[in-house]
Amino acid sequence: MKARVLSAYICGAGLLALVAPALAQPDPGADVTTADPTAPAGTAAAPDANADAEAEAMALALAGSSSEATSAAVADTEEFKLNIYGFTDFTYSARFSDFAFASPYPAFMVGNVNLYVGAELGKGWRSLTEFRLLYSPHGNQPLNNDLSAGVRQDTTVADPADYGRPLRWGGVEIERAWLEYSAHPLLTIQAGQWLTPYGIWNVDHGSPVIIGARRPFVVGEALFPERQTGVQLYGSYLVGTTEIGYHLGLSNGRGPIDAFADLDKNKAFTARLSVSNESPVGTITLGGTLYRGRYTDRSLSYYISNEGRLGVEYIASSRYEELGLGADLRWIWNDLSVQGELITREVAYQREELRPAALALPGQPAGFAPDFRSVGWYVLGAYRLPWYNVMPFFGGESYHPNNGPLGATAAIWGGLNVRPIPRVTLKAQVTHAWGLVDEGTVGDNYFNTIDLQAGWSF
Amino acid sequence: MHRLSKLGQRSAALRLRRLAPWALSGLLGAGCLFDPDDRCGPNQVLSGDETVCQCVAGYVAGATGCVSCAENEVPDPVAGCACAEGYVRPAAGAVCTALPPDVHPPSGVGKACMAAADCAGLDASYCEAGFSHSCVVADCTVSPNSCFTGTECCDFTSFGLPRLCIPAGMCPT
Amino acid sequence: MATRREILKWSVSAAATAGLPLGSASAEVQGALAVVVAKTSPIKQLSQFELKKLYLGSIINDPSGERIVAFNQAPNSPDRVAFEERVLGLSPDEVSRYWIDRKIRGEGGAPKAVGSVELLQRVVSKLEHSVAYVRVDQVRPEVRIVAIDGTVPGDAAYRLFA
Repeated sequence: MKARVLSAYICGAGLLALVAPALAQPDPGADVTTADPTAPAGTAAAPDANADAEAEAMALALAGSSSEATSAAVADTEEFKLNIYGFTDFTYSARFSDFAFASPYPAFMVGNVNLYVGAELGKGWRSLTEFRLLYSPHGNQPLNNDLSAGVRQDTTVADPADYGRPLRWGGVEIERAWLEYSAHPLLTIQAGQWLTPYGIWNVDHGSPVIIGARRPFVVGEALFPERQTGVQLYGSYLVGTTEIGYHLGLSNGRGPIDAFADLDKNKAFTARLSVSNESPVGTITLGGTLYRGRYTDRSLSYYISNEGRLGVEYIASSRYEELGLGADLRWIWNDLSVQGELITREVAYQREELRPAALALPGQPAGFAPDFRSVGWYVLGAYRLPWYNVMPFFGGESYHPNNGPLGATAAIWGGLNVRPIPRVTLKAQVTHAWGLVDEGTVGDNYFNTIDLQAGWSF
Repeated sequence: MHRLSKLGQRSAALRLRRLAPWALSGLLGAGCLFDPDDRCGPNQVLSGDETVCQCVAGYVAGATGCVSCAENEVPDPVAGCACAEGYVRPAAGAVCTALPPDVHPPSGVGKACMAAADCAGLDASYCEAGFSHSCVVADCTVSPNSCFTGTECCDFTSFGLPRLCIPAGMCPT
Repeated sequence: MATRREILKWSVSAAATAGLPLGSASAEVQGALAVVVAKTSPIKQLSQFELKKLYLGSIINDPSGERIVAFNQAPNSPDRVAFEERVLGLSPDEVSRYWIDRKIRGEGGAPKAVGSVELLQRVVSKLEHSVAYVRVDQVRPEVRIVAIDGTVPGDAAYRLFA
């Protein structure tokens, strides 16, 4: 009995397999029927054909095919879709120590208002521009040479749209603007202004994404340039559950006007290698970054030659060589996140005539700035709890500028990061920093603050 | 598709493990820009607190580094190279020439000071404590220049200071 | 002698290769999510890690060298939620956070979502370098199931269940 049942299964399956090709592939000349058995045969063919046409059109549009119709659609601005999104953050900061170089007055602040304009241009091409809207330069107060406060900049003007009532205008900072083409998983070419791909914090970039309310000092001091203008290649390769990634960049490097001009013939080089492995204990990513560049500042000067001809010369006023090295580690295991970065920056003045004068402090003879190596690191740990997406975090950092009179500084911080909805991040962070200034400064040489921040993306 | 056979995956992983130390060494080895034993320029020495490159004895900080002073000159914190005692510079940029034996410059010029009392009783009775921290001759006349040879009268009244005799050519324009 | 399970597996594989619906398969198999491609697709199989990276925005090429285009089901559909939990290891909230954070970093967005399962499969059938996922009992004749880590729905080791 069992054998007969078994045989029936085998024969039935075999029969199905034999006739399946004939059943599955419709006659090219026939209409495909719908699944609705109650519909009249003649009308059933029309909705199915419509669905097929709809699928064809959607396939062309979604995949960015090379058909002329799709290319034309992309080029046509009426049909072209631009993605506009961004993020903003609002912070309340209060100081709880008598630290001279931080405002003693608690304040609310709208810090970042960043707009992204991105577009999928089709066939692997993509573009992105990010702007940061600023209240600055209004309120900027420079320091005079004698250390007295300069005049606060005031951009108040009369608003012609409101009976001439006062209006303060602000500025725009271009964070990045690039075009990229993804030729292959191993090769994407990006040209324009891009964020230097070092570490974790600089890449995470936006306040809703980063865990803490403030950047670690070593990141904020820009031991690597925060952004560069040039060309970079990047890609990745999968080996089992390991992803190996790389970045190679060539740029104007760091300079007074590096976003749009290079004042020397040297181009800066950036290289990054990262390895990310997924295992039962989570995903561990280890990365290393190198930056090698030359900073040059020049001014343009016109002259008349002995022959009476007009000439142009570029007179260098500042120049140094720099080398940045960074290592980063991130471990994510379910709701646990641990990350850290170690960054060094070496600066060498190889043109002695351009070695800058050192800051002449009272009682100190005049001199020149020595070559230096700055070193800094931070470590951050966080755990996303199952209640209300609350994530306590804590961390520490240390920074040795080794450049001038400012000494080493260190800090510990901790707080809560809450994401009530995916687009909103609420943070509360307490920071204790010390060693910022030496004992010869009025006030405390430590710094206690609380920051309460709401960041949101839209 | 970037998928390797099991054998290929093991080979790739092994190659990666062998390459990693070299890659790391390459990255670290690239840190040869900074020499902790040679952080300053020629004729400079690192200060005790390692924050400033100071000129060695006999040299003075000039516009392009530490330079040695010419004959009959000595390093000066304000003028760079000032004439030695008994010598004077007739004009800005000129060489220091010996003073006639009966001609003497104002007493106390260039003496280090922190307050007016440090310059009391000297010809250079004004303590310039904001920049040079030295005794200088004050209340001179700009035109005609009433200052000693090699110095000129500079009007600092708009900065809340008196007219002062300073080395020729150093008057801010 | 072949076991009942082995026969079931063979018949499922045969029917899937031929593109037949699997309405007669067991409830267990019916609850599985199948990864489907066009009949003419060069994609024969994927690893679960590749599938995960694909649906997290990585660029992966098929054997012919073309970039694989991944399609999602409609947001909040039960099958999409299940797929993201099983393959990506992320809850719906975590998925949202992931894509928001990627956009702020300047990286690419999520795979395109297609509203109906039928339309989704029709679209996949037109693009031979695309993939999607559907319930086994919803697989249409114009698409083909691919193996994940060498397993197909019905295998004991197959892990994609809704």
